[in-house]
Amino acid sequence: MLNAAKILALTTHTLFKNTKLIEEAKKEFYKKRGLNYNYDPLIGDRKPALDYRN
Amino acid sequence: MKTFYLIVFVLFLVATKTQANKKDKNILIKNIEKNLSTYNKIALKIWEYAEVGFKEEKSSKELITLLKENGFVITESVAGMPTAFIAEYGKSGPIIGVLGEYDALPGLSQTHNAVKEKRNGVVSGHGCGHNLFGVASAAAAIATKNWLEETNTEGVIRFYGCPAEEGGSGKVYMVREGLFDDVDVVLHWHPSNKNRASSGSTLANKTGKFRFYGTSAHAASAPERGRSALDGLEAMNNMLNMMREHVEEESRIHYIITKGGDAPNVVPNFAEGYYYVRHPNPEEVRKMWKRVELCAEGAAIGTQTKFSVEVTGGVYNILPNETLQKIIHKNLSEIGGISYTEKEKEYAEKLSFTFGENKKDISLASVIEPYTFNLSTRGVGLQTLVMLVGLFLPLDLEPQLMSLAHLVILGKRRLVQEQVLGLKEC
Repeated sequence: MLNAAKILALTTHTLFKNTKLIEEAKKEFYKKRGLNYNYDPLIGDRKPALDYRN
Repeated sequence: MKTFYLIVFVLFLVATKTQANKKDKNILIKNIEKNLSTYNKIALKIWEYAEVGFKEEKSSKELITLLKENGFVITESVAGMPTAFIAEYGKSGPIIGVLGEYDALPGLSQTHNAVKEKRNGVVSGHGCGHNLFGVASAAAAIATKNWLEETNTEGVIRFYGCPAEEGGSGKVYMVREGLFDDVDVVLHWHPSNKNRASSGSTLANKTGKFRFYGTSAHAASAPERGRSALDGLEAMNNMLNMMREHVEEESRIHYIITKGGDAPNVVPNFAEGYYYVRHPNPEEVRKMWKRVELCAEGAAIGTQTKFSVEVTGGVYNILPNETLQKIIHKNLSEIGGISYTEKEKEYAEKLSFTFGENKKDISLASVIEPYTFNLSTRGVGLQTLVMLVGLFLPLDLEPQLMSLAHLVILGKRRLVQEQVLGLKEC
């Protein structure tokens, strides 16, 4: 837990200090996702299944 | 001479930047270490609450209070989920999110002891360390906020309190609601039995409950008057199990029967099954789900029962992002693995015996795995280490155990894409 917190914190620092990396990451993301991408949730339009554990 | 001055000046700039970086990192790390005992206590409380998906009232409250006390602005009950929330700090600049989860699993009740032993009156338990997950992510958000503030750096840090990760698809509703539309990058992590930021994907899945309705009758004196809902469910499962032979190899289908009647001598008028369908490609999941529905339809016709279906969850497969994975890998390498005290080792050894043939090598906790990029998909894959992590905490031993760093980047088009963080020679 301690290590994970530190690694995440250092990573936000890296990104805030090098915003070019954020742009690169987004570029990669959009490229891998493909053109004209449209997210169609597998859950459809249902409301949260608040009692799925009942 | 001018060139000499220029070189000196450039070197001076590099040295100043390196020093500033070191100072920044110190601010971040010291902030986390300073508050560690508070974080440990909260992680332990969440472990003890052991609240399952969408029931995480006390657990989410712990994190809300922590973040509020540290100057975050909180929006509670987002996207129609009482235990989902957002905590934010900052006014302008890039927006970075950190995900936190805190739900437990049903049927994993366990005491603090290193042997299989149920807790009195508690039926659920933290199987894969979500009690650590939420707290570590909150700790990272707090450290970031503190650093942004102290150094007057522009940026927004946002903590997403994500309920019901275990089968409830909590984040999908948040995405659907547009809560990630303006975010630039989202990070997260997950406890594991390895320290790694390697790239990979997962299986997309769709889950739901099929319910059958029949007619009750005495099973001995008037069976001809009854139409068994359980027959409907069993007929459906027979067809489903035959279907397995005719689906793509990487598919996974599993179910449990959640209701099957109350007494053998009464023809059950209600039966229910809970199903998961998985495949690397969400479109294939959609197709298989339709076939499962046809199994139910055929079964209902043949047994003269009726059925209904409720979709309870659905997530896409992970889309890896190497740009971010490499950054995480670098930071993971810098922070390093975990070293246990003698007392912790002793406890971990005892625990590892409960894995039988799958006994884990405790020394792996100190190792950082090399970065690899592998797109082959696997199931969930994290379950093996779950008990190990969950059990560590209560003894007030170092609750960090192993960190499989995951990362999520979210697009403006309502998509959650998770990527296992990778590390390479960067």
